[in-house]
Amino acid sequence: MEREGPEISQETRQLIGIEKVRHYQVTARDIWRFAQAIGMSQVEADSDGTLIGPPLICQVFMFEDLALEELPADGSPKELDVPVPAARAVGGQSEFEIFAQVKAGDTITFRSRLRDVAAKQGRSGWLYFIVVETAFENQRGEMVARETATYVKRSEVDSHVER
Amino acid sequence: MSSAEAHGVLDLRPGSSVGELRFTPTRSHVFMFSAITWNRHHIHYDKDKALAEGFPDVAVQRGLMGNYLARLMTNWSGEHGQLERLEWKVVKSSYPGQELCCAGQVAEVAEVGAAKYVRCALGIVSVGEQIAIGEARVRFAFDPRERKEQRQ
Repeated sequence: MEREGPEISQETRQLIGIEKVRHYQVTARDIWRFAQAIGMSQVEADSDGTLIGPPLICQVFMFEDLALEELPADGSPKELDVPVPAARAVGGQSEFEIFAQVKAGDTITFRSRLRDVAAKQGRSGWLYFIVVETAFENQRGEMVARETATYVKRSEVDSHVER
Repeated sequence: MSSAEAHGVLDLRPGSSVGELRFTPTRSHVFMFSAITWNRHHIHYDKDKALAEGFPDVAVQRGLMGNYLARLMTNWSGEHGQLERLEWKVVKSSYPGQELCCAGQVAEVAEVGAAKYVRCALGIVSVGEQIAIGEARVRFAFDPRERKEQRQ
């Protein structure tokens, strides 16, 4: 039977719902580099020759352009820097909804907020689930994608635990 | 012609395969993905620090695995299919040099007007071990009956 998790602190709860907004202009170089990183050697283009990003191109804009000193000690994204009693940030899960193509030259407005923080018992201790929701709009105000990402933080070393 | 088109979108039914995509990410891919997403979590580029955290090597990013599933779906669905939703969960870490086999099958097909919505169950396996599980929804916008007539 699953035990009830430790209480999430008031300090942490106060972060839930705070929205961060940033803007990025997508370049053809972003699209080429992203495509190459995911193992593609070709990129789609529209009838005008404008490059079209792969379906998850919005991952390029996910993390803040902060100086290294402003990140947690393990270099993990600031988005995960939520005060919970666990230091190790690992994968988790993503849900991406894709509404429209992102093309070179688009300006993407990125709105991100911490949606929830919860604790669950894992095999090697408590796991903290940090849920971040991010919406991406283009310069015409059209929603192009939305991601709900669940990151996991844990305190114990175990490379085989759920991630 | 994509796999879905070759087999006829009209004929898609639960259990139909979406094919497979095999890819072996290298340390260079992992590095490039961290660079383009500006993910500076050290387990993805610093082997010593990855070892200190209990990993045998730098770890392949969850986000990168999602792109392999997205490529699987777009290869399968072709120009008439639109990947509308992709969800995936990493259940076991993977490392550069491991071949990842992405595959899946149709779980549900629904027609709404001229569109056909296909939900697929997906997975990534490496050397017989499950690395990730996922689900996708693809919308085929054309009238499948009309398309079939054109092909005949």
